[in-house]
Amino acid sequence: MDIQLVAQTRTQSGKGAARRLRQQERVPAICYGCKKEPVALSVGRKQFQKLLQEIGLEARVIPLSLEGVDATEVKHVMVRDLQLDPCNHAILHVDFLEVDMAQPIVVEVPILLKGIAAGIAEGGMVNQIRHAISVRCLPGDIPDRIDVDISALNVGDSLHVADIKARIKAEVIDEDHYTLVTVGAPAAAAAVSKEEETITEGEEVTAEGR
Amino acid sequence: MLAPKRVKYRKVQKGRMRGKAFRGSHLNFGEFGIKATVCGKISSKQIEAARIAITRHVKRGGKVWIRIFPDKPFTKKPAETRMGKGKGPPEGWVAVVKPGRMLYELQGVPEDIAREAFRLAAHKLPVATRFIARQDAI
Repeated sequence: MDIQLVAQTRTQSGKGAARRLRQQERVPAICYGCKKEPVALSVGRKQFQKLLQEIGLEARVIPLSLEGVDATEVKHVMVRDLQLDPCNHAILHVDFLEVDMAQPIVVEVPILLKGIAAGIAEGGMVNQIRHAISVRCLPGDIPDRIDVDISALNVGDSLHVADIKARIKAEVIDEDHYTLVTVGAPAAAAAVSKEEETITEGEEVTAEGR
Repeated sequence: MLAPKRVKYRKVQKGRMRGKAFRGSHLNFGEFGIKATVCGKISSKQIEAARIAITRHVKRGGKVWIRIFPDKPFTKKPAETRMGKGKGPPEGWVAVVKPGRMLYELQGVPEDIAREAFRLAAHKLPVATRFIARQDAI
């Protein structure tokens, strides 16, 4: 997959200028890192959204070129932060982190659960505690995701970082004892009794209020 | 029902609901969630009714998180009372919700069940809502 992002430099800053940019279907952005001065940029909204849909929110290196600058000068950047509108999820601002391809970096790699846990047949429930794991590696070697097979997990079992560490081709930063996923006991009976209990409790509270 | 254990003042002013919910607007615990798209006040009874609708639909399996808490008291004058003579007694509790606020999260169930559970729950709430899944957070 050939991904490339073209950005424009911008001279104006502040909310007024940012809002004008957004009206023109562009997203204000900033690029920093590699001990260089930060550069204020803007990227096309549609182009950036399409790119995000292709690569997802995973930590990926994106070649970024600046319009009007020599085409051979390409920055290697990663999406460090993404500000979204809480309602319509429109992209408001993007932080790009410029990375040195020869220097290892620490990134969060998403965890994807594979298979159906054996404990589900007994009425257990899979509870994913962590959705990402921190690793240190070269920017070119960042895994897309870490697949974790949970088919052997029974009720009461859990999977920790130490259990999957050997399979990851990067240095894992997270502590060995961090829990990734657990299979909990059936909660149906407990939920029903709690439901009844809370309703009775609620009536008491209302009575006190009056 | 949800209510604060202890408060500093029994009655508070009505207040205004302005802006969007930048805090508490992300999926932080579960795989699926429901968020408000408009502002409003959700009472403790409505929060409980929606929670019961979700837990009844998912039956077994599935963990529910309630992301809002009714910490604002509201008052009501007694029936057949003339206007004036001061503010009425506290009647209940509400959670003030702004657009974008995550209301409930759910984990451990397939997407179709989560969608239906949240659809049923949304009927108990006084605000318009939107279903959110972790993969379409963009």
